[in-house]
Amino acid sequence: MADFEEQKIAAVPDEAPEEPEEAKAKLPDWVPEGCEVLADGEYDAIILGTGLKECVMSGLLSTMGMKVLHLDRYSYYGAECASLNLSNLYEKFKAGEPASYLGSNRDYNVDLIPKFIMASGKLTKMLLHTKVTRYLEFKSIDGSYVQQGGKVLKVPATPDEALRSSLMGMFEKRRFRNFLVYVNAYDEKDPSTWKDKNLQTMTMKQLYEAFGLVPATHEFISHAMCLEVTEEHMSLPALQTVKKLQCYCTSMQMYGKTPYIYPMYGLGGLPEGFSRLCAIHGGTFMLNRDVDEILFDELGAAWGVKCGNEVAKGTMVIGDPSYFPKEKVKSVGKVVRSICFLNHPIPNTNNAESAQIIIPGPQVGRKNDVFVCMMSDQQKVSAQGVYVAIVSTKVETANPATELNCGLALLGNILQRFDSVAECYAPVGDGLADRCFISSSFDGTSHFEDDCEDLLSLYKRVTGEELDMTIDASSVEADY
Amino acid sequence: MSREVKVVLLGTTGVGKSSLVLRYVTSQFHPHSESTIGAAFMSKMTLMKLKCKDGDGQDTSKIVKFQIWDTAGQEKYATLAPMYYRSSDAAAIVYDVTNAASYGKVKEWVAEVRENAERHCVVVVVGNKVDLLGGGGGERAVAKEEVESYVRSIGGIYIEASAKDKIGVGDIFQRIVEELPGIHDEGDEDSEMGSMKGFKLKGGGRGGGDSGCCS
Repeated sequence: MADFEEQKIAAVPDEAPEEPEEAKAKLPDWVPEGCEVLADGEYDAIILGTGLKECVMSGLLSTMGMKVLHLDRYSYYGAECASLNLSNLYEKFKAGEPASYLGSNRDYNVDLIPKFIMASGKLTKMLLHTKVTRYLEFKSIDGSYVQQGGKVLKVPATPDEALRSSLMGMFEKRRFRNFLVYVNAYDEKDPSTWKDKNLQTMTMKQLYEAFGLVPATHEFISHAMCLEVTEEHMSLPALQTVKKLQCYCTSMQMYGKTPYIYPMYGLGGLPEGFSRLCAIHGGTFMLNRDVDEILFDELGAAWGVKCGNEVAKGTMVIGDPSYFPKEKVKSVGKVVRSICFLNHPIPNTNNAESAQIIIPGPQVGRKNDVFVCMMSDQQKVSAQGVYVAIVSTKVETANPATELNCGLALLGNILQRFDSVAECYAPVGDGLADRCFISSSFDGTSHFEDDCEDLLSLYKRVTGEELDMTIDASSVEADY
Repeated sequence: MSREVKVVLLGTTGVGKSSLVLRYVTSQFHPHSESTIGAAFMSKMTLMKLKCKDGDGQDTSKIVKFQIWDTAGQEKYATLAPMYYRSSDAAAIVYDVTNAASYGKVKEWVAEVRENAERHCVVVVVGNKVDLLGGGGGERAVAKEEVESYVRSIGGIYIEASAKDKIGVGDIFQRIVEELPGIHDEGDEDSEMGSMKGFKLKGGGRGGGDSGCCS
């Protein structure tokens, strides 16, 4: 009985995190003069921003037994990669009141950063490894398209489609097929599959040429299948790009007509899912809490954070670049994005309810590709009859708005547009000395593969170990 | 022929949400239980009696697989993610009958459910810890009539329960099933709604294991 009572007493504080009177009298000695304790006070890790990378980190660290405090200045999960409802979206872009024809606020989950997931890519593995996948349901993206010679053409999904595709001429199709057969059979560890080609030394361009493929085919394979965003890979060893093509082909065979999958209700479900993993392991989340200051000791190492007059202590501070002092991050370029509401699917995509169109940079006189992602109520990101198309690319000129024109031109009539230019940051240091472990901003690619590399690097910097994706997170499952 | 039913638990920290589920799913009660750690959701597959009779006047029943989601402590600072509420069939909003503040929060949770959950979500308000009443060391903080009248006004169901003394716990889930729209329909809802629903990721094979080529 006594124990039961005790539980009840412990349960009462539900307003703010109120410390009992006597605890206030003897604050821990690390609390600066005039300050209060934030939440439980002492943590192993304090994590700032609820973006995908930060939430994966808090999920993984709490699963390892670390005590985690996770803060975000916004009232929603996801930070820069949130999926917003109409009111949050209009507020973010200071666009006034949503038009009534758009329908209900809650029907919308509009991604701020448009990306698709490769069905057999690294993020999928992370979701399976952590079992966060049990909170999520996915849809296959209906159509994958590439712009070639001013036309939007379907990226062939099957050998049959490849033979019918107008992307290539008759003889080229045969060479394309031979190339794919070679790539699919290629095994880095088995020289008998190399067929006297050393992909560690041979460039991608040389490999294409060895199969007699013409430049137009190089372009659509590299950009629409390997998802290379520039031409740089052509003069680099072929192996890296070949692996990307293998990933594309494996992903292709998994769920649907394209290699891309997408979570119902938007990408924001990803950080939300990982936040739940963290919470289940005792992690504490506070939203709508801006961090005023990261506290450093005399040697320049972070030891805590300050929100208003409340302070929490942690052995490390992890977060996205927006939470750290300017000198700890560097700019690595800008990404321009335009979120568009349409009342029709994108023309020339066979009325696909969801689609990706890649415009290879060279097609429009650019270095970087332009991406168009489109989703609809099929993925529960919008009300029925409203389509959300997001056009994005890496900024190359002083006039970013015009750089999206080639993509916007494909969309037909646009009901409403939200434009943004985001500066991308990367950490200056590795965090070992200053205890600030900073993620990089999301890149301008249309998928998460490179972002997962950043995440794995962040994990390694924080824990000193490679992420072992074979660890089984099943201990958290209470399936009676 | 079975039906999956997602039930989300809501309510102030410490009202006994986890204890109710633990009692229902495992018939256990842990008086020492600390704040919730460790369960993503608990599931229980069970044969539930339905309200309507069949053609011969016999009781009908259906296999129901409950997926019961616990807040995992994310209610403490009001940071439950929208994902928590999504596609929930029922919300059990729990308060402690001896704690007025915990009842005060019920209205806020009802508003949260209306805002975030599906429109057809069944709302059950659960007055927990009735074992503390009548000599159990506690007093009723809010008159039962007042609570009943409020719950009726929002079209919900009111049940009093004790996870400790095993009172009313099964009723929560029985009443949820009785109120679920479409529960009497034959067949799997999955097949009917197939195109509107997503799929779960599959592990193993070429994509899930370390044999994949994208590592």
